[in-house]
Order: sequence, then structure tokens, then C-alpha cells
Amino acid sequence: MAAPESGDGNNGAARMVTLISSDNTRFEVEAAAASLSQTLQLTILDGGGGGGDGIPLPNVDSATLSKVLEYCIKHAPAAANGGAPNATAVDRAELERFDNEFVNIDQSVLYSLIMAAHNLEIEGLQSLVAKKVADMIKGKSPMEIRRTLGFPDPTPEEQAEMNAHMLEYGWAYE
Amino acid sequence: MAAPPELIDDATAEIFLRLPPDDPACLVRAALVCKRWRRILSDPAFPRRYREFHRTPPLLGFLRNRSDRDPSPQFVSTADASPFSSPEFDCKQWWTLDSRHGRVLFRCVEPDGLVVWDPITGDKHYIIPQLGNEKIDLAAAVLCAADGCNHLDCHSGPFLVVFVSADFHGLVTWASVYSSETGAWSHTDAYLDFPCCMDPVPCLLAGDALYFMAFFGMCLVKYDLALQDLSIIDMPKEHDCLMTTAMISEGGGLGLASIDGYSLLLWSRQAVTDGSEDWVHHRVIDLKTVLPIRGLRTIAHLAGVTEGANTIFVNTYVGIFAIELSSGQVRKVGEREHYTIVPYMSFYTPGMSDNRQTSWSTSILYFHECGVWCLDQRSMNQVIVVPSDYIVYLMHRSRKAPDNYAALIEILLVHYFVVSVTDNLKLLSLITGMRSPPPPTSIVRASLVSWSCVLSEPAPSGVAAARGTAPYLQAGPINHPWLGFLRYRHPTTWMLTMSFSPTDTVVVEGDALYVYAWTWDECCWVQRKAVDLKALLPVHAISFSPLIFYLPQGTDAVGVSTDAGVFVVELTSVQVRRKLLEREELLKEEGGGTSSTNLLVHLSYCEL
Repeated sequence: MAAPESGDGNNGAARMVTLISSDNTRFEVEAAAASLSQTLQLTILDGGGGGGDGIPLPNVDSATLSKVLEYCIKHAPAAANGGAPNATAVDRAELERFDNEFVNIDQSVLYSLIMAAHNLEIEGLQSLVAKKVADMIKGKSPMEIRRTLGFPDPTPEEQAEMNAHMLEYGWAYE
Repeated sequence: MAAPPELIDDATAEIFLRLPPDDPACLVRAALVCKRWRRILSDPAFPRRYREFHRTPPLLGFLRNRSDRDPSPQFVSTADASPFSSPEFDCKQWWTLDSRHGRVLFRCVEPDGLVVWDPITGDKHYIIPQLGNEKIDLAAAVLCAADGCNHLDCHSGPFLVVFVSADFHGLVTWASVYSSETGAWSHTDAYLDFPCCMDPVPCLLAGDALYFMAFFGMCLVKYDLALQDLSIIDMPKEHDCLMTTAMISEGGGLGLASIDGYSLLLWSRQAVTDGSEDWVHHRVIDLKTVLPIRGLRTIAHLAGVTEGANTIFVNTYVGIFAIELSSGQVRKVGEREHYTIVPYMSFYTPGMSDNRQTSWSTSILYFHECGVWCLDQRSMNQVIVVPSDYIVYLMHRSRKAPDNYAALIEILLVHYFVVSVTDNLKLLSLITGMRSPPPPTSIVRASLVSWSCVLSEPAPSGVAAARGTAPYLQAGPINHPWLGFLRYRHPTTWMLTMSFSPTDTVVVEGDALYVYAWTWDECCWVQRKAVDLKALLPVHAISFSPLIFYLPQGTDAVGVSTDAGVFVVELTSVQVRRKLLEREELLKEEGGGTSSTNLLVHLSYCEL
């Protein structure tokens, strides 16, 4: 999606919007970056988020929001080019390197990011983080997946159910 | 570590969507992590989303036709763990011909036929080749028959089998199409007016046409599915014919891959100036640089291609490599093969083989040099009349008898197979070497509600000893819907029983004759009458177990054969009506070539 240029008619400097996290921290970002979120895009198109108003995001805390915005700021120029058809290979490689480092984080942050990306409908981020978690669970046994993602140990009932299913799908454990 | 925040289902599904489709164990293991994950994955919407997300069915493995260790085709998984095992068929040999749209086509030898196998459900669909052509060389293709299908999940839908073979007597090449929906071969065959020696390698589906290799790679035989006609396409003049296979070109049309020395050459079929089409050579891949082998000592061989993903399989002395043309990725997928491989591509998601559905279109086949029989696949309760002395029966599934749907295949009067139709034609019992009264010359209907009841509840109380072995059907008289013989294998003797109404059965066991009635309410046999034959028959000592020979239609009498001759016993009055003939006469008649059943049919109509 192209970044909205209309609205308040401010074509010179990039239009800024303010986002307010659940713990009341204010983030001022370019409208183009915030518009990567499908949820925010409509509000911003309507002229919201400008001046002293700010857009409240009650589901996203400040730590997660700053991470989300880091992603959006980096990806906004490419997105503004309509999926970067004329981006150079260098630009693409740079974005890829950024993405790889970006998701190299603790799984609890990853989880918060998935939820934020989902709520804010940021397709690229959602895909990036989901891919990262998928890579983390790929090739692991159910118990290893539980440990990797910080699930509590299974209750005896859960364990019995897992065992029964493992018998049924014996081929997947050979 | 603190528990992670709960993800909503949709966000969790986003993670699962990104698990690799070419390693189906990933999704299965994820389904075992916890109840919630299992619920998300088993929601029918998820597999649909997953297939649409990945768009191209992944390569899950391939079938190799023969190796040093295994004479039969083996499924070789390309993933670390595979839900599929190698198929088994009840025939002497089988050979993989083709695979497409989630199905694999095999050719069977002795008995001869074609079988379409669905690795996901394990379903096998037996197809009878057209009469007289079951033994010749052929090429065949299997493909989805649904209009406008995206082929992401059509493996259990209707399909077509296209069969191309050369007739070296009639000097023609012909193609014929089998439809699983009608269960029959097309009436309009396509011909070429010379015989093409078809190569035993998988064919290619490109657009609306199938391309078969012929004359050891010297030409392609094209079968146009829309026009239903055959034509020949020559190969490029400069190619090495033994090392060529048809593939989808990068432009999406017909292409070729061939190996020349250490180079993989790619061709595409393109329009040339005079309006005709010709091969254009458009890419060369140096195998020495692409394959992760130091010093490729021997020439590599083409082992196969995938239709959708355009992966080329190259056989080398260290193993078989898959070269993905679009990404340039190369990976080793198996050991060195001697023959062409048949790649298998499909999505596999958890729970797929759980809701294994009965293949109601399963046909039963029987081949013999004298004739071919098949069963009506739609109604499942009729035998198509066949001009032969041998018969195939299919039993009807009753409302109350659950999932026990069996068929009897009789071969040469001495081999009997009882196969389960509901369970992938699993052989329930094989009875060999038993000489039995020959069946009548033709059977119109052999479908009996009571047979299926008997099968599901195999033993009337009097023949409890027979429990554990399936009874099987013997011939019934012409045009009699409710009459037939039912055999049980007794530990010491063979008993012949007859059903003379939809729900009644007469059994001779030892020296006694029992009449059983089937009760629907309790779903069991109830003994209605017991007759001591020793006391009844005017015979001093019965030295062998009497057999029931015949039960004439419209009477309540049965013919009982003893070593002293055949007697007619009236069941209502429990009286011996008359002695029909001496045992010697009976044996003489049998030995003289007249069918004893026919004889008795004749007797029953004339004399009773």
C-alpha cells in the first residue's frame, strides 16, 4: 500500500502520527510507517493520530510497540514503492538481514509481537514472526516444542493423551 | 521461564501455515503439543488454508520400481518421516506407471490389470483393462477428472485413466479412457495407423494433453484430452534419445529435458515462422558444477521430473539428486536407482487418513484368459452378466450388517477369494484346491441380504465351529435372486448350505440337517428345525457327511446327497419324497462333463 499523502495536505515534511501504548507511552512516527498496519491505516486516512490526539493502542505495551515500530520504519520505504518493484538487490538483501536479526529475540517477545502484528494487521511482520516460530518448532518432538515455547509441563492426563496420539502417529517419530 | 501469553487461534494458525509441507511430520507433531493446537489443526478450515497458502502440492516421495533388494515397487519418502508405506497388491508382480493429483497408477501382472492407489487413504481402485489387451505393452496415465479443479485436494475425487498401447497385430496404436465415475472404458477410442512401442515411463500432463514417450525416447505420443485424438511429436534432431523426458517448460508449455554428457539441456516447444511448432533449445545446466559430487565420473541419467514444481531427478553413481529448476536448489533424495522413478506429490495434513472413506467406486475384477468380469460399481449389488463359466459375486451390504461388504472371486473352480470391499479389497480368505460342484453357466444376480448378514455374523449356532473362517458363496441358479449356496469351512468337512428365502438357510452338519431363520431384530440366526438324517434317510449307515445339493425354487424341499444317492427331503413335513439317483450315476454324470448342478436343476424342474 502506498503511504497516504493526503489528509491534512501537508506534502512537504512527512506527516507524523502519535501512537499511545497500553502503558501510556507516546510514540511519534511517520504516518507512512504506521500505515503498514491495516488497522491504523483507516484512522490515519481519516486524519486521526495527528496533533496532540494520538491513537490509543490498549492491546500493545510500550516494549512491544517500540519493536513493532522498528519494523515498520525499516519497511515503510519499500512498502511505499508498492512492494518494492524497483528496489535494488542490495536493498532487498539489507531488508532480509534486518528481518533475520529482528526476530532473533526471546520467544516471549516473539509471542507479543505475533499478537501485536495480528491485532494491528501488519501482514509482513505477522508473516515474519510466524515463520520464525514455525522454524523454531520444525523438526522438534511435541515435548521439545513445549519446552522451546515455554509451555508448562503436561499434566498426567495431557501426557497420557499425547502418548496415545504418538502411538497413532508412530511414523512421525521414527 | 514465564508462561508465554496465550495466542489467539488465528495467530497460532499463522504459525502452522508456515510449517513445511514437504515434511508432513511437522504438522502431526504440532498437533500433539496440546489440546488447543490439536483443535486448531483438526479444524477442517485449516487444511484448506494450508493448501491454499502453499499452492503447489509438495514432493513427499517417489516410487521406485525395482532395486537390488526389492523386486516390487517401493515408496521412498523424501521427508524424514513418512505416513506412507509401500503398497501391496494381490498379484504376482506390479509396476508403477504414473502418478498425478495424489494418486499412483500401477500395472499388475497375474492377474493382469491396472490399480489406482491413493497413498493417503490407502484406497485401491482396480480397473480391468479392455478385453484382449491386458497382456500387451502399454503406457497409462492417471489424472483428476473434476472440471476446473485446482488439484490441491482431489485425491479422493473422480479420476480418469488414459491407456495407450500398440497393437502389433492390427498395426495400430490406440488410446482409451477409463472413468472412475462410470466405471467403464470409453467407447470412442483414438487411433494412430501404426503401432508405437510405448516406453514404460511416466507421462506428462501439459495443458489439455498427455505426452507419452515412445520408441525408447525417439518421439512423443500426444493424447489430446479435449479432442480425444492421438498424434506424434518428433524429438529435436540433435538430442540423445535415450536420455530425454518430457516436462513443463519454463514458459508453462511443453518442454523437454535431456542429458548430453555432463550437461542437462532444456528445450521448449515453440511456434516457428511458418506457423508450425519446433523445439527451441533454451537452457544448459552443467551437472558437474550443480551436483555436489567431486569429479562426476560417469554420465548422469535422467530419472524423472515433477510436473508442477519442475524438479528434475538425476541419477548418478552416488545417488539420486533433485534439481529444482526455479531456485537452483539441489538435494540428494535417495540411493542410486536403476529405473525411472515416479514422483509423488500431495499435501498431507494431520487427520487425513483418519477419516478414511470407503471407496464405493471400488470395482472387483477378475482376469482370466477366457474372459473378464466386473461388477457394477454404482449399485454394488449386481454382477454384470459375463459370458463365462466363472463367476464373481458381490454381496450387498444390508442396513444392519455394519461395514462388512465382501465379494467372492472364484477362479477356475478351485481358487476362491473372499475379499472385503469396504476394507480396500483386503483378502479375507483364500480357499484353494477345493473341488466343488460347478456353478451354473451364468448368474444375473447374486446379491443377497442374508449373505452379508452371514458374513458379519458368520456362524449360525449349528456351525459355530466354522467361526473364524469366512463363508463364501457358491453359484446360485439362473435368475433366482434369493437362492445360492453358502459354504463354510468346517474343521473336518465341507458343508454346503443353501438359502431358500431372503432370510432362511439350510445347513447340513454331520448327520443332521438344520433350518435357520435370520431374525432382523436380534441380528442372529435362530434354529427353526433339526432333522436327523440318519434316522430319516433309508440308508443303513451314512459314511460321509451328507451334502445338500439343491433346493428347487418354489418348494420346501431340498436335495440331499449321500453316499447312497440323492434324496429329496421335504422340510415342512420332514419326509423323504424320493430317491433321485444313485451316487454312481451322479459321479458318472460329473465325470462325464455335465454340470451336476445343471443336472439337478433339470431334475428339480422335471421330477419334483
